[in-house]
Amino acid sequence: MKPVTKKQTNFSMQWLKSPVVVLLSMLMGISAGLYFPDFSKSSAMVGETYLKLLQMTIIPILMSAVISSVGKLFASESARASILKIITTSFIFLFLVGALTIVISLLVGPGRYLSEDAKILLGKTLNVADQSGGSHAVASRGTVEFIHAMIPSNIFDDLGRGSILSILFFSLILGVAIGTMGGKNAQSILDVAEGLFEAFFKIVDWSMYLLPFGLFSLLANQLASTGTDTLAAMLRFVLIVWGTSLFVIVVNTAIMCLTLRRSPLVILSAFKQSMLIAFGTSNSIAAIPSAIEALTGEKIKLPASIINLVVPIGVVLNSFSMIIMYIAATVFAAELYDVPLHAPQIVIVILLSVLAAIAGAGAPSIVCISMISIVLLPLGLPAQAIIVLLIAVDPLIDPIGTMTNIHTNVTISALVASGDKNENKGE
Amino acid sequence: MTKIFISTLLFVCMVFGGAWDQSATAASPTYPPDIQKIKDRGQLIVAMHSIDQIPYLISDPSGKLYGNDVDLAKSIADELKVGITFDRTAKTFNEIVDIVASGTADIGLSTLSRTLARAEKVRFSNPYAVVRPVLVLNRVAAAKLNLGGSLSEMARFSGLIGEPKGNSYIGFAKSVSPKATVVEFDTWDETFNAVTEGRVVATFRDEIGVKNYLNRFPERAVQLSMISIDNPAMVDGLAIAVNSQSLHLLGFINLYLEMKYPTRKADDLMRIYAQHYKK
Repeated sequence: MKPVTKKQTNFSMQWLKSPVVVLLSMLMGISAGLYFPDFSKSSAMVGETYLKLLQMTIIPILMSAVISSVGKLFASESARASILKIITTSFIFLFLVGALTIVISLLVGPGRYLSEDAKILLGKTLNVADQSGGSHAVASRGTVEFIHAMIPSNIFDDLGRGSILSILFFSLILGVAIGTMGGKNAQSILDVAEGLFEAFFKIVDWSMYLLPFGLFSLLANQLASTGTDTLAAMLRFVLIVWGTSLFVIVVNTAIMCLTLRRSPLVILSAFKQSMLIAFGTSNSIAAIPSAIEALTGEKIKLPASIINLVVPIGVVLNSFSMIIMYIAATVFAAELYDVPLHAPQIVIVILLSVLAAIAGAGAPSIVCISMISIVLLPLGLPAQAIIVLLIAVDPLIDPIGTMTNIHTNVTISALVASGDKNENKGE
Repeated sequence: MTKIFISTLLFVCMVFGGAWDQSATAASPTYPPDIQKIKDRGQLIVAMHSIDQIPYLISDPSGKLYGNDVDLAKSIADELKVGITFDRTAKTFNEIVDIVASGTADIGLSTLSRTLARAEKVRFSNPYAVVRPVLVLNRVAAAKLNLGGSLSEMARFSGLIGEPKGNSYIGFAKSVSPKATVVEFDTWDETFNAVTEGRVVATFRDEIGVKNYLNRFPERAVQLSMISIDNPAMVDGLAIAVNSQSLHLLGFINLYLEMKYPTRKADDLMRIYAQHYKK
């Protein structure tokens, strides 16, 4: 009876959280962006403010979730097996997504059949970037730089700057320390972390009432500021990214149906909110709380101890959308510049794309995009030009990419957690 | 009484008027020989390149000339109170210098860069416009060589650089990339074709020249990247060439530039002559 009374008291506002309303607001945002670009750009502040509200609790949630779950994991002594499982499952998925993308890209050919007009559009985009001095955007991060960026010299400084990678690293270490410490004090720290986690979650839950307004504004602005010219020239590339992403999401759903023994409809409805947030905000990290909620909630019921750990780490470290983008863009570049890709190069492309995606973990999207130089330069392809083109079409592929990130990481979490659940049952 | 007064007045006027006239003849300006030659001829002869250089030198189908260099030459002629004649026989920029050195033309005003080799033959005015040099790289060739295009990288570069014959950028390329081999082509278009096809890796040219080329062939920017060189020591100052004997004319031109013609930058030129870019 209890849930019913709760529903009745919240009835007046509950409709704002319904997926129909959210979808409708997204569609309205898309049409506003296409047909009233000036209005859409001027309303951008609403979406940005909403995104700030969502992000407000992200770092505390990430920290409290990782600290409490790692702490518990190490206290229960099954840590090594679980972590190994998380890592192997992640890598298998990263390489599978890479292999799938290259097959689709080579079949469809993102840079094939480019018309003269398309080449003129590409040339103009590149020329404008050259003239505005965008020629220094090539970034690459080696292993040493990656580790250097990961370790905070002053955690409060990194918290202030919101550098996700170092915060994650710090939380992991702290969690391990608390877990191996044992005793009453350790338990009380873990309790505090868990309590904070729940409180922050409550805030996220409240912010969901504003989701339709936020998504409307974010999508309207995103579409209004996309250069449709570049899209025309890179249509096949964009289609490959969308197609591959949707294919991955379908396969993920099938995997979850099998491992969780639920119907596709249940899976779909369980993750609808996190998928919509991911799509609408193009911000994977902003979708973490709702993804955790979906996995541990009524419909899926996976153990929070594992989910709270795997989801945040996975979302920060495993960027499937970047792998899809890197590979499709590499094939595009190879076709545009007539550089043949044979079997050895194809293997190199997959390996380097996985490496580049991990190297870009937690970095802002421009930095992630420019990480493609890790893949392109060894093949003798001009990274500079491709980065400029990717930045131009990024708003069109970012929503579906973010959705793929969340969905695939949710799938990995479900695989790891359901395996653990079964093992625990066996014990 | 009135009649006498008027006639006296007339007489005075005639006398003084005549005296005025005479004094004017006596003080008739004796110009220095270089200016006198132009005054006597009633024409300032300006040597210019035979090929149009937007936005400096543009000829419309009827043969009428306009553009920044044409306007500047006309205003100098106006200040000298003489007409203007354009000599467009030069096929290269060095030929413009030779025409001025031989005395066939009074000045050479046609996007001339100052170089030491040219300064051996003619005198140069102060710059009337400054443009940045631009490095144009073949993107794929540069990626294969891992060449980002910084000056320090170009100093070590030992591949092929293309430049048109008789152009100041040959010297520029040799000074920036002493280890590179400069391949000479007949025209800028042939030079750019060679870079686009990867027969040479790079070329240096002034920013306006590069922008003009990419305005004509926007699709080439897929193959070509342009990197502006912001080193102030390497800025290309466009100057007016004057015959070595025409010292007074040189002084006149420099004073004119100082008083009436603030040095223009590439952006100013492209803004002032923007209508030619829309075509």
